[in-house]
Amino acid sequence: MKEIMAVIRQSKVKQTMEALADIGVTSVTIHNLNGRGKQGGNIMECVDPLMSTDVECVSKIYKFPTPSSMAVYSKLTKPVFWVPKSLLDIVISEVPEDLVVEAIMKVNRTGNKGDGKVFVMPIADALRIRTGERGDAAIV
Amino acid sequence: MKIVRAIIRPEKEDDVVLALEGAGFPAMTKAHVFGRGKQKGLTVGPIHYDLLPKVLLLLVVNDDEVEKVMSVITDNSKTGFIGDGKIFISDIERAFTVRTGEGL
Repeated sequence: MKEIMAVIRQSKVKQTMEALADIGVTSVTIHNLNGRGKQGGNIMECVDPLMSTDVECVSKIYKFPTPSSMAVYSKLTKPVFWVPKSLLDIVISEVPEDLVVEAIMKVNRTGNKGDGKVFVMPIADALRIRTGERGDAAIV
Repeated sequence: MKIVRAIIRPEKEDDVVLALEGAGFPAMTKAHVFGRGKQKGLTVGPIHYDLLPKVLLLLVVNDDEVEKVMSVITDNSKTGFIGDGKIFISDIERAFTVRTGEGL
């Protein structure tokens, strides 16, 4: 039994669910929450057109630039610390985990920063409350 | 790799997040959750609050960085009173970046 946690864009949830249904994964828990990645959030280009949105390029100048550290120096910049994301929680027993991970990544890959992360972790035990089944039988 | 789930006071969220960022852990996920602990909530006079608002932070870090992350979170969220929260650590077998498809 494996748990797959995928942090993805909120706009891609519907497509991801369809792709997962195609490979036989129908039970998914969705959390809508906020996240931030290595860049520490977003800098909105429309608010401050002079501020480079390419953080990699800025990091050559500053030591450790993130939207919050930039906010200290620049009064113009309106950084977004938290980006709305969806967390999909999937517990699988029969479907191979590689198949699920590939399906999620294929749908969500746009090539831009903020595509998300996928984590795979072990599940010790599972229990179906309705029938009291334990282990793999609870998930299938 | 380990996942760190920290349940902290909402008013300490900014302190903890900025401290984590300063320590080199900018990437995390945040959820506003409701929970209760051993004391089954909080009673103020005649009013009983069963579930109290908390912030849940999720961070995935390397095995050797777990202790550092835990100390940063505890140092910045500790008040010494009931309701400071908990930190849970569990294993992550594999991790992928969706943009590149590579493992972390």
